[in-house]
Amino acid sequence: MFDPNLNQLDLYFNEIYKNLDIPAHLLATANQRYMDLAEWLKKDSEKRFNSNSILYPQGSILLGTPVMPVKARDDFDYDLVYLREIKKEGITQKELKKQVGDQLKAYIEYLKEENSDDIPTLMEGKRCWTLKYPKFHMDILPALPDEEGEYKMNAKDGIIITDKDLHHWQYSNPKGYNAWFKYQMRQSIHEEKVKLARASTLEVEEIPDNNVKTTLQRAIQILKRHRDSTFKGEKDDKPISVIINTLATKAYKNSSNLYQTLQDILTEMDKHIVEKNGVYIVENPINPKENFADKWERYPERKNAFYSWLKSAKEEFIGLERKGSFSEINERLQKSLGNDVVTGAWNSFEKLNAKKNALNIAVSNIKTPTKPWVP
Amino acid sequence: MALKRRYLEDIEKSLKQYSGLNLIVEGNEVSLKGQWSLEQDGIVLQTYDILISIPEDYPVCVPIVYETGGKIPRKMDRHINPSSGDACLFVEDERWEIWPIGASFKEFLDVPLRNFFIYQAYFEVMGHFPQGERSHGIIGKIEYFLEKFNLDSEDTVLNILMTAESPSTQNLLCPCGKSRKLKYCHGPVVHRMKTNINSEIWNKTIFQLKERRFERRSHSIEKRMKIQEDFFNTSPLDIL
Repeated sequence: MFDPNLNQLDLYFNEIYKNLDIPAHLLATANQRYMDLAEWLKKDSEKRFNSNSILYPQGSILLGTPVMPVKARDDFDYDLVYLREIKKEGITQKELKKQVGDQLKAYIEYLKEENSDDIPTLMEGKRCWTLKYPKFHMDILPALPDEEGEYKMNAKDGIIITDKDLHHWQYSNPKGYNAWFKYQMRQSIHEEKVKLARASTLEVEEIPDNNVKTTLQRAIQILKRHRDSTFKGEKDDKPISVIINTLATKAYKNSSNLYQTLQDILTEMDKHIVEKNGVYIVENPINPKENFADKWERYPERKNAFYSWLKSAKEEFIGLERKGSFSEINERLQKSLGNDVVTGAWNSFEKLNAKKNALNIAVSNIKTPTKPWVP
Repeated sequence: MALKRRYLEDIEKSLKQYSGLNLIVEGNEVSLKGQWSLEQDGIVLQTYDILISIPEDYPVCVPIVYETGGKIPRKMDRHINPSSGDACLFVEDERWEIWPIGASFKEFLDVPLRNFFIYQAYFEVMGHFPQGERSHGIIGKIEYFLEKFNLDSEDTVLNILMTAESPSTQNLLCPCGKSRKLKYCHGPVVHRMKTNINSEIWNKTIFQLKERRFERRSHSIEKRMKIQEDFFNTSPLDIL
């Protein structure tokens, strides 16, 4: 049997991650639907408004940290920004939202005319529109360019978005945040690319950042799943993804071992929350004026929920080398990550270990070793 | 020139144990095609689609092996020739130890080919080769000679290969410096190496080693001349 040492735990958590990641075929379908829609909207905006528009992913899809929902029958989120390249003076929030809705209704009509086999249903949210497909839904957030440059870094990618009451413009910069995120883990991205290049015919320079997944991204996915399982009923208190993402990135130590990364993050992440006069601040790394935890002041139960979630994650993930056998670890994690995920991970982990053993035996049985070479 | 009958029979015989491979004879061209399944203790490690082409001058020339299923990327680091796509099983000069001329085709499948695919399956899971690998090109050959002759100088390797390749020199002292006659020292090994290798390949190796020696020497002559030039260009006043 294998002991839960650092290397084995790295393999084990990698299997956990694979079991809660969005399956490749589902993500490929969603990507295709997104690209179809982006192309259609671009053409339609030119025709309809004589102006340019861009549809691009934001949130976990852009960051490479999406997770499958706890309940297998639920959808996963595919969040998009719909940027209309027009000035805010020329349009009200209400008009903007209505125009986007009209375009999406027209898109559905177009799909019907084309006899498309995958026609989504449209739903209206407070600030965004939702296209519901089987297995996933796209939240489409209407936005305009932020011409005043509220954000200091990557000002060119700053956007303004509608608020819930369609009154005051809100500032955001998903691309800028993504640039910061990728920059923080650039060393690991490079290492993952080198690994991928060795296993394929690609050269390191040919591999896009999105084709690799670092230990930081995988660890964030595991922590988000742990959060989702912990807060099944109490949705409002659930720590928001951007807080987990930001703190985890700041605590990341570039370890290539996924389990070590989980430990590093959980040990250090709360040290990056600043407390000033009783106010807790999780600073937006690309806009020091924005506090991701601003709601904690009004709803202290959210702050408490974050700290109690962190405490339980620490108890469940830190020091597993010293906390008994793998079957005990399985049992504990089944409760906090879900039965399917842990059972699936354990089965493939066992298979992988059996294969590794068999490979080692096959190699040790070689009587006349050879060394491959290239002329 | 067609493959001799006895070699064809020997190849056919080996298929009894390698039932996944089919022999294909088309005119003068002989090849084997099929699946190579690696198993250990009931666990399938990997299955490769392969093609083995038997050269006309077999067994002087080694069979050429291709992995046709696309499981091994065609790149040097995976020991697949990127342009031709053939598998690089071993350094040619090592052949006398791995699969000497006269050994059966089954031994070719059992040793270098089986090893190669075990190593590739191992790499897929572990990310590295288990029993080492040779550097590409002439450097890989030099690594082998230095290891085999237990030496650390490339010049001595070349001296040994050049002196020992002729049978008439066997009573001379071995250039390795151990004060022994070649026939009691590195002579027999070199002889076996040479007789198990296509003479073109052997000559190419010697040529490449000579070329490298020439480059090294001219480099060191250039360096010496530079020192002299610097010395003469320096006025005694500069030194003071």
